[in-house]
Amino acid sequence: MNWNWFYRMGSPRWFYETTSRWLPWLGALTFILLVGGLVWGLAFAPQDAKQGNSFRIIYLHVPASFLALAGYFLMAAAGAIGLIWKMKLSYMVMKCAAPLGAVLTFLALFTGAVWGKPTWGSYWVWDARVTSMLILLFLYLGVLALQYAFNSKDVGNKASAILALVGTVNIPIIYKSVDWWFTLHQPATITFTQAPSMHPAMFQPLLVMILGFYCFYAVALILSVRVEILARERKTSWVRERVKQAAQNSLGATL
Amino acid sequence: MKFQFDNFSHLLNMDGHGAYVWAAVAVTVLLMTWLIINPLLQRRDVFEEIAREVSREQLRQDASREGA
Amino acid sequence: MHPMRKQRLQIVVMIIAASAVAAGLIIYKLGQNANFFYTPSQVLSGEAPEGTFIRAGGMVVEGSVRRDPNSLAVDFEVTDGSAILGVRYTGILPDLFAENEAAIAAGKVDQNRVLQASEVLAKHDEKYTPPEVAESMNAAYKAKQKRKADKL
Repeated sequence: MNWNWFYRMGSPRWFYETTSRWLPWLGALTFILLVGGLVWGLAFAPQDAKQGNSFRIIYLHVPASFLALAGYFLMAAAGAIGLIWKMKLSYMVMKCAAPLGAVLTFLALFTGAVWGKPTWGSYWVWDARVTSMLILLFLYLGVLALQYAFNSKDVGNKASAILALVGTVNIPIIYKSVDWWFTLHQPATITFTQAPSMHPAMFQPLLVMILGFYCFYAVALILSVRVEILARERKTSWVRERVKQAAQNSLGATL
Repeated sequence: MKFQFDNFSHLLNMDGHGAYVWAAVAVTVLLMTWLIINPLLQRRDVFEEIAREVSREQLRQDASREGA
Repeated sequence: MHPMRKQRLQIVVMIIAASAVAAGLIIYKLGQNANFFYTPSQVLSGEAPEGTFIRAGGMVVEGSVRRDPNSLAVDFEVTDGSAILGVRYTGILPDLFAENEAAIAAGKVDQNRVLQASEVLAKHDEKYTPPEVAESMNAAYKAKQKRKADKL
């Protein structure tokens, strides 16, 4: 098997230059999806027969939760690739995915809390779903903290990657918690096997928001990986060339 | 597709659920904006740092050439 | 694959497998202790601990909700289909609390087998429907029930 494509993808310079071309388009798409989906969901989708308008929080809560879980898989996979192939870029991806995932998990918990008050009657409950989601937040913070806990960057990366891998088991637990135990949280609306138990007029904007959050995740991750690349490759001639170009063209510094 | 509210204040109030919905929106927009702005600011800092390093090295090189 | 990489891949797989086994054991041991609430059957059969703070959840029985006209006290019954548990609560109920909807009450069961609740939470399902659709669905359901009754 030819692994050349794999190693080329692991090159920070290749990553930086490819994403330079894609970022403006991806950024514009993200903005359109998020603004369009949010306006659609908040103002144009019909309200829920039982929950009324509080149900509109779903347009933030579900996408944030999706990406909090998917982002953890990505972070753990990047950690595994770093451990096995010792690829610099994959450790950078893992490092940048940790704070991003932590913020998305926090958002899932926060939007869940302000949704819980008007529907359940409580901001917070210690049921299996909410508690396992809180553990996810701590796992993200743990991966982030281990990065800085060691003097050696290499040891920090390895420790983070191992914690990320161990924590992967929490993801299926979060997902199945509403089926395995009696929880206050309702079962999943969107599943792999069945049609969503949601009216199409409400489901379409949700789909737009989920797509928008996936694109947002990609943009935010790429942006911070690029900073990481610049900082670590600061001595190389291609980075210096970029800096020189940016100094000549002040517009270049913002893009 | 139909606008679901009578007017702007109805959209804000959302039949009593406005505070919850808009709190969720505000915090989400704030944090997501930060996730985009923060790397852009960091990138600017790194660029400036590298530019300073480059000019410092340039000065050192010039000085050693003059000394020789 | 390079033998060194193969070895490291094996280590990664082992980390995942070991943590999966550990998590599996914890979940197995945790079992039903991780439940957020007991069903009325569990409470009445004595499966739930007695004399301490517990949560019990089920469907609010139709016609069972009786509000005290002079105070915030309310009596209702919850069921899981096989047993019915009485609940007494004083306070403001969540907006979504209604008959034929799920609710969870937290408190102590007294000698009369009534749950003296200090908190009541509403549990909603994963279905979302616009009001007009829900209305027409309800109307269709009622019409069907009526046809059934007429036939009998």
